Amino acid sequence: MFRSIRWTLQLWHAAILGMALASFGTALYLVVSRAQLSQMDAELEGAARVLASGPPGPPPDEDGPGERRPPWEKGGPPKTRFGMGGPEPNGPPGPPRHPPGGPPGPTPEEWWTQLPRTALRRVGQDEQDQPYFIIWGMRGEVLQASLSSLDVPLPDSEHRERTTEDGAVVPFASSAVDSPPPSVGDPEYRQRGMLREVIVHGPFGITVLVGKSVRSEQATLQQLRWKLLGAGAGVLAIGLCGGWLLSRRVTRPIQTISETARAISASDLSRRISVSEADTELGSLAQTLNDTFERLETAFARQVRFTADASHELRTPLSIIHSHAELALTRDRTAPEYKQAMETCLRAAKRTKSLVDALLVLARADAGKLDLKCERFDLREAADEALAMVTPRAQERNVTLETDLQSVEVEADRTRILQLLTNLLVNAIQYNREGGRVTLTIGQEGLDAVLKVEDTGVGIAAQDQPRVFERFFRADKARSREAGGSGLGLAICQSIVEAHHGSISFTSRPGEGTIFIVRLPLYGRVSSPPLPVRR
Amino acid sequence: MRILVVEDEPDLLSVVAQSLREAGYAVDTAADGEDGLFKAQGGQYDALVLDLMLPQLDGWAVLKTLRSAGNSVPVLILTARDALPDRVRGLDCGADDYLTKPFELAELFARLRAIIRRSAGKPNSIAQIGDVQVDTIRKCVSKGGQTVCLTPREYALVEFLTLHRGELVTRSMLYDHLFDEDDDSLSNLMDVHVSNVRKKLGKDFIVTRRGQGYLLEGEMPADGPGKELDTSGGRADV
Repeated sequence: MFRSIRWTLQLWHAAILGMALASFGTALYLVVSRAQLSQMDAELEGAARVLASGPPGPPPDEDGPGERRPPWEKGGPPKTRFGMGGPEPNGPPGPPRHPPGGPPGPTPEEWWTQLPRTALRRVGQDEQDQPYFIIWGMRGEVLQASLSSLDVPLPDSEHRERTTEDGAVVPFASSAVDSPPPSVGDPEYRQRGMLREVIVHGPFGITVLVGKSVRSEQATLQQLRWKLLGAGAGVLAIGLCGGWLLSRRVTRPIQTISETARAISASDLSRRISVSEADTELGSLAQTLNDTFERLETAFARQVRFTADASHELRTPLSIIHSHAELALTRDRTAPEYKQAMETCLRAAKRTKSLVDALLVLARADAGKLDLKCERFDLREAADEALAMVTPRAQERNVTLETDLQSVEVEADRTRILQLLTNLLVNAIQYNREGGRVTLTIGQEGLDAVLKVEDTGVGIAAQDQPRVFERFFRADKARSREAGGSGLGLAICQSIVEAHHGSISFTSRPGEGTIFIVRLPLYGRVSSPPLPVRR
Repeated sequence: MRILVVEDEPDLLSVVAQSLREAGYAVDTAADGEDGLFKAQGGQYDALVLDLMLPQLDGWAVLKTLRSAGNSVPVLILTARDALPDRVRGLDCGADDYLTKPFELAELFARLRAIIRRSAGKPNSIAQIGDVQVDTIRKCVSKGGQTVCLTPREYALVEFLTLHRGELVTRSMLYDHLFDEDDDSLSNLMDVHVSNVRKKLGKDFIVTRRGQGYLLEGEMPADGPGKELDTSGGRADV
């Protein structure tokens, strides 16, 4: 059942649809999760940069070449720029103010030290989901940390790692503490359990880390996974149902055709598949099948007729032998009576033998096993031989034999060609009128040896002409029996000629006579072995 | 009993005809369909043996023409065509029986006897007329348990009269059915046969209706004369 076209279609359909849905879902999921991660990274990075850049003012790298002062020396009121948090209720206290041009104030760390620990806090968030920060000084000491980030490890040269995009963890470059970058460097990202952290190196060797739990994002992604799975399953189910209906639509006409064809081949070859949509592929398939049935039916009918005819022809002499022997044995008979019975039996036996021989020749020709022993010979010599054989019969019927023979060489089976000539001549004599004439002509036309047998007989009636080469067809049954004919002579002639790659045809005018024309390839023209005769 | 054999194989025609003659039938022959049809329409036959594959007019056509002309002579088809459609077609055309070649002569005879009996409405092969018993299979007649020796012609006469017992059988009917077309017996020979049979089977065995013909008045317990008259009504050609 699973090997049927319908199931094959369905399984392939399911596999392809499933694969497409899976790829689509995976791609969608990846895109969404990446987008979420990069958004979070951007927020964290923004916060980290603000923290790392230190006191407000133009960043050091934006200053002119001559102004190399720490940022806090530039003064100006600090502003809250922690984008993530919005306005903080308690507000970040301003970093220490230094009057311009005044003596240097506190050490650079002090600015960070004085940052409120709630700098990044948001309102109304879970404690777990609150962003946190931690700021290390040049020597790795904690300058300031938010409320919940006291246990965050320092990303030192041994521990500092960054997570590449593909998730692999590579050691951090040994930059860091000893040679702090002069300004805010490139951010580094790391994943620590459910925590996403961004590390930024600020001026004066400080390191700022801002992190946040990704729990809620993970939960969102988990939800997305389930939704995608559900939607994918739904689409797959709909697709499979559609595919099942579609495959039924495709296979139903095939099934109908196959069932009809089975019924036809099993019972009645005369039935046909109804061709409703002739221009579709299935319509042409049905038409092809119908044509095949047509040929099969014709072939079967011919076979049945041939078998019936052969059986009839064989039974008749057999019943003659049987009945004569039976009658002769019913009582004691005189010697002449026995003799007559034996003669009749012998006659019938001979007839059976010639019929069996003829059937055997035809069967061999049909199977392509005529076993031609091809040799090179002159058709004229074969014709002379055949004429010698039929002369007594011609004299018996008072038929004149005329000839016009040229020397033509062919490569053929001499015995078969002799049989062909004899058959044609005997027919011409037998179906001739009393005192008629038979003319045998042998010549050459182009690359063919042409052999004509012309008679002055009754001719062949127009309705009989298509059936002349048919097996067991006799135009005149009584006359045929007189000649000892089986009705197979011309069929045999045709088989012989076809086996030699030749052709046989005739023209006939009822009442005037018939001409049989045989064309055989000349010697040297036959290159391929004789083809089997196909019917 | 007179039988027409239509067969185009001369050797087979001769053997069938000869064997039937040896079995005591009068036999006519025809070698093609047209001749066969002509003879069957003209002659008074008790049965026809018909081949199917005949020159000029095939057996089916002969049969159809005969039946459509109202001829009800029993016909046995004897042919080499043994295929089912041929047999069906033969029987449907009006044949009474179908026998395929090659055949046993004994079977041919038995089938002929059967269709002749059936068409005469006397299905029993042994007839009892008074103390005379006629066995149509063994072709012997006995009187009072004693076998009576009859010549083939005398037996044929008794058999024909027995088949048509209770019916008036005219002299021309006897001539038609007991002699074939080549027989040139003189008319008074029939009287000789009748008188010989009377000598052997009893004076009253055959009743003479002067100026009309002969009558066999055997009463049979199984089928009475009334029934016989009914069934003989269908045989208008006899």
